[in-house]
Amino acid sequence: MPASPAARPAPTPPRLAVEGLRIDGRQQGRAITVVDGLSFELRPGRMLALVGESGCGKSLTAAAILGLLPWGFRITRGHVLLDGEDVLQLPPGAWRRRRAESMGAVFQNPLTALNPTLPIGSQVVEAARLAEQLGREPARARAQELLELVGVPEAARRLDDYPHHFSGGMRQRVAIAMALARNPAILVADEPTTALDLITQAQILRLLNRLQRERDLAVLFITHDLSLVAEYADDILVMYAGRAVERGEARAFFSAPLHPYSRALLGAVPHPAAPEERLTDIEGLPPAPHEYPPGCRFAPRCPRAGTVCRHEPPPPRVGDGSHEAFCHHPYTEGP
Amino acid sequence: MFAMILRRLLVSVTSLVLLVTIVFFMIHATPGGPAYSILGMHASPAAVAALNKQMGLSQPLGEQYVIWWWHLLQGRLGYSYIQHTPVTRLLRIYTGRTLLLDLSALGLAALIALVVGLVQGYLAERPLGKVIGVFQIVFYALPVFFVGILLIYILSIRLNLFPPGGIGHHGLDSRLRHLALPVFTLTLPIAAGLSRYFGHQARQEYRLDYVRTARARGLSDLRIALHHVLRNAVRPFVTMVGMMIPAVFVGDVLTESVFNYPGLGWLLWRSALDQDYPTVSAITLFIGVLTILGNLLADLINSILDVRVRYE
Amino acid sequence: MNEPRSTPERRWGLFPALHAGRFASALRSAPLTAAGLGLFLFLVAFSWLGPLLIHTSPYAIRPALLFRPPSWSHPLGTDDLGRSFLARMMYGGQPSLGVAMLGTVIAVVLGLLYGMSSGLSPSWLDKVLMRTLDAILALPTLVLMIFFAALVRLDALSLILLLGFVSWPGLARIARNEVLAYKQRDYVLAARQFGAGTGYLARTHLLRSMLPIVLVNATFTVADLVLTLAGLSFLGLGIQPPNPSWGGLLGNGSNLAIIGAWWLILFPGLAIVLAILAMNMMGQGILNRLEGR
Repeated sequence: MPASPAARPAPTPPRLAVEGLRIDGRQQGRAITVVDGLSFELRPGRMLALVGESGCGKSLTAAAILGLLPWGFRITRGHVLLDGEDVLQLPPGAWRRRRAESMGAVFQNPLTALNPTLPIGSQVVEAARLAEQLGREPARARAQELLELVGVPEAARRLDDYPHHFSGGMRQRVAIAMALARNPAILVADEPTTALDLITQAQILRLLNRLQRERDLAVLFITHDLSLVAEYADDILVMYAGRAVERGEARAFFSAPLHPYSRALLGAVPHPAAPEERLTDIEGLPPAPHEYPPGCRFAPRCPRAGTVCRHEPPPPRVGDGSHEAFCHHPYTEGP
Repeated sequence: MFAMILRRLLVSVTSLVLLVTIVFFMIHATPGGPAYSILGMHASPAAVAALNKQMGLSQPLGEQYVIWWWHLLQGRLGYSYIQHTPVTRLLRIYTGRTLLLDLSALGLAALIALVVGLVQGYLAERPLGKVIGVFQIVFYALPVFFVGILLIYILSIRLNLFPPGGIGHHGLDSRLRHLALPVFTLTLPIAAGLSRYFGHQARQEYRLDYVRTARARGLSDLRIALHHVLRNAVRPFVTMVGMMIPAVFVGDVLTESVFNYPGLGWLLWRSALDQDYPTVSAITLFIGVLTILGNLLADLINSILDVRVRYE
Repeated sequence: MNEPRSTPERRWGLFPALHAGRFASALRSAPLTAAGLGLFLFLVAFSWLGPLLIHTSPYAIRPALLFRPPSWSHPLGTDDLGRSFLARMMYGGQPSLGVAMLGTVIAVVLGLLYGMSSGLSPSWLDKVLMRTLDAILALPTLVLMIFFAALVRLDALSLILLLGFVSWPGLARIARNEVLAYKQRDYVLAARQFGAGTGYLARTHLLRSMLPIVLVNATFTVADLVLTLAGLSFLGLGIQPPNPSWGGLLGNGSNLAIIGAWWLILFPGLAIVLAILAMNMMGQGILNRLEGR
């Protein structure tokens, strides 16, 4: 697989670069490859949206970067470069410390993301306190500062409250504060808004966007909902069945998606101007990891698939310079 | 919190009243009745009638029930015709030894279950976790009387390492050597059962997102286990320990019999063989009371551990 | 219905063996259940078919053959009266397993009746019934059995009745909780809506839905009763000698341990362990399927 658009001048070096990542695991006694040949970069101040249906390997990708792969799953190929250093070569303890100081993570379910038996104040700064030997008072001050940063009202008064005193949206804010406690350069957000209602979703997204700009964060935002990130993402990476199918700058991507799967994902989103318009449904279900087809993995469901698609894995096709798709028959005109 | 404790106390008192009533009816519903037990199956009706009158058993049931309560509240639990001594006195002698045995075993089992359960939760579906699960099922299926005899046969009779029974003479060393095998025997099944429940609980905890976020923040496995998982699982654990109390008494009766350890269980066994009904019913009642009090204690500990527990 | 796993169709689907007669395939997909069932069938065959094969009386005293260790002519050795220990083990299995199984049947019937009545009663009565249950549960089953054994002489029939009688409360609690869970399900509400009576509902929907979980707990109850009966007989309060039972044999063997007759301890002990293990494995196997693992 060729390296990501090298022709394009990179304004800043990437905080995190993933190169040719492959994750293997076992499922019901069968060896499976859940992610294969995935590459992407996270740059300061930018948000990369990793989009795909459930089961496509996007959450496992996040888990791999965070060192949280479930037992039975392993990175078998590729590199994870953190500020240029291949962390997969580090001894486990060193990698854990590197992760802890440079990455923060937010997950889907705000109801269970916080330990219900600990007051939120101490929970938010727990990692920082352990790592930096912070005293009690400085720790409280830091917790208050973090909660104010993520927009928890009357933060000072709420330090000793327990998670069940907070609403779902507020808990997700607390979870974000917790992720930022050690001032990481990278934030991984795995479907952080899926469990929330629409209005709260928008608030959390705006918060992430503000934090990203203010703190020059490199954000990896994982979602199954392409429309959600249209407004805020700087880069898009669409995954299907363990592989990247299309990636590039968000503006270029949204103006002319190349891959039929990306089109279908966008088509599955009702257009606000014409809600009555029929959605382009994708026929069928994504394949399970042990039955991936030999050629293009989307071919069995693809309206444009030809003979070559069923036998040859597709090569990258470059769109307008900042944007590429893995497809034999990409769309060439705008939607 | 005070109101909650008061309500919990009320529930326990209700249970106690019901327990006393149930035991009363169990005694009086038994065909033949206590008089036959004392005089033997072939006693003449006249002798039975005389004894019933003497023991107040010929009065109407309602009256007897009131008298039964009156005696209980005065701490009069009856008189053992076999041992020729008030049952209360017997209880005073034997209870301490039983509590020593049972609490040692329960405490030891709880400690083992905490460690094994946390390890099992951490390992989850890994092979080692499954191996632990198999051991739990096997140890839980091992009857204490079988384990006890095997230990006596191997360690006492063959290898002569431990005394085969009794409680020993004065002196800590002798006492401990006599206590070792019974405590170990009784601990095994309790630890197996408790760690199986708790392992399940810990597995559930480990699946929750807060563990994942804790890992993502770079906390060590040990800190996650002790500071996060244990904190959440300790209340269900205390409840489980409380729920094990009846099983502890069952194991206690059998262990004390195997090792000839003169505690309540041993006394219950000997009295049953002698058909000493006042002693047997008093011990039955007493064990029921201890169980209810044990559960109450578990609940109170829980409400102190977590003031946010709300009474349903 | 927002809890697909609990609809009765799906729950029945977990028991294809009962539902469609596909017994072998059901067992293949549940190795733990299959192993437990195999072990259990072996013990049943040993106890009921074994005596037909060996033609040796378990009561025949042979003074010339005291304390013979296991050998080809005496596969499990002989006991303190020279009786064939193999024959005693086989005949001893009949009460040890049979009484426990029949006792469980009684416990299930009593437990279902009490639990379902409680669950379907108005809440104040439900509370009273459950509080009574708590009080009964404070008395450990073995202690209760010892209590009865002290008052009356127990034969096999009274053991069955009493074991059933002391072990229903656990099943009643489960049945009641199931009823409470199902009472509010959409299809039960729908049936009420078209005028189904409480008795009809209990018989059709509720009983059907709770059958799997009751079955699981019935197997666990058999295991508990095997243990309780063995313990009771071990203490000399259950099945009375000279009638053999595994618990009684073990009790006798333990008194003879000092002589070194290890086989009189090992074989009955193992039989009890295997019986308990078999039932627990079956129950746990079914439970794993129910929990969808």
